[in-house]
Amino acid sequence: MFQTIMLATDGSAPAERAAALAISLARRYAARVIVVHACGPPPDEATGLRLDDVLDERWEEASALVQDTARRMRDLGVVEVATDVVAGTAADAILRCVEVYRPDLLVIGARGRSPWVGLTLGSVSMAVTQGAPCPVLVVK
Amino acid sequence: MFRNIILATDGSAAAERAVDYVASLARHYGARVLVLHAMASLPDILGEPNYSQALHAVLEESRGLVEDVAKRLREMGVAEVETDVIEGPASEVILAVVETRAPDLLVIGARGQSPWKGLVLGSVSLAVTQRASCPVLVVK
Repeated sequence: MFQTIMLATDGSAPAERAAALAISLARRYAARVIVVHACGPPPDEATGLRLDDVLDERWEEASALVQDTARRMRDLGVVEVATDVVAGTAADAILRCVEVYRPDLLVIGARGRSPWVGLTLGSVSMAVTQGAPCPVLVVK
Repeated sequence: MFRNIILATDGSAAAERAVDYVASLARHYGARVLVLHAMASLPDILGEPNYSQALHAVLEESRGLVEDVAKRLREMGVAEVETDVIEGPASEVILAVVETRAPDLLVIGARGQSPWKGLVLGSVSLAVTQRASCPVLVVK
């Protein structure tokens, strides 16, 4: 039923809880996991030469986030873990990943790091749940 | 990790696909399953004895629906299955039961039988995914 599970993470608390469920499912189903993170556009105030630095920094942070998550998954007994960092706004980037990797399940935290914490379901998880062709597990 | 699973069903195609996921998850985790159906309220304007007759018919149909799903879950190897039919608006009924039962997972079809087919995610699954306190698996 679940051979490939995709975890979309932004390092937020719900994403961490989503990772825990993804680990459990991957172990029960002997599934491989792909950890993806969308590296968003830089803030508007970053311009010129500074922009390259900001982009590099963000990319490094993003890579570290998925690598760290993947390492913890392996430590907890998930055999096959891959990572990917994709550029773009979160929902679009995640949906592109879903198209490429065609997971049997997408696991995502309900709310990410966007400032709209008042909303129970974040705009990213909502857009992804709407747009993904596969089942989506939304974790609070 | 998943001990108690609620499957909210309205008999739609997506809800039917959700049955297979619930069966698989319940087997892998040894979970108990509650098959829940929210039955639409009937208009008072029907008057008696029409109201009682209609209510009886709808109730029979609803019970048939959840019992059929429960039977199939048992046939697929799920040991503990119970059913419930509650009258009221679907998202409110589902959320109330989630609050009372505090399941580890709620499984729901993305689109139900509401007429808004144009929406990718149905209003019920959207409201439930937004507001449920537990993880929600949305099946397409």
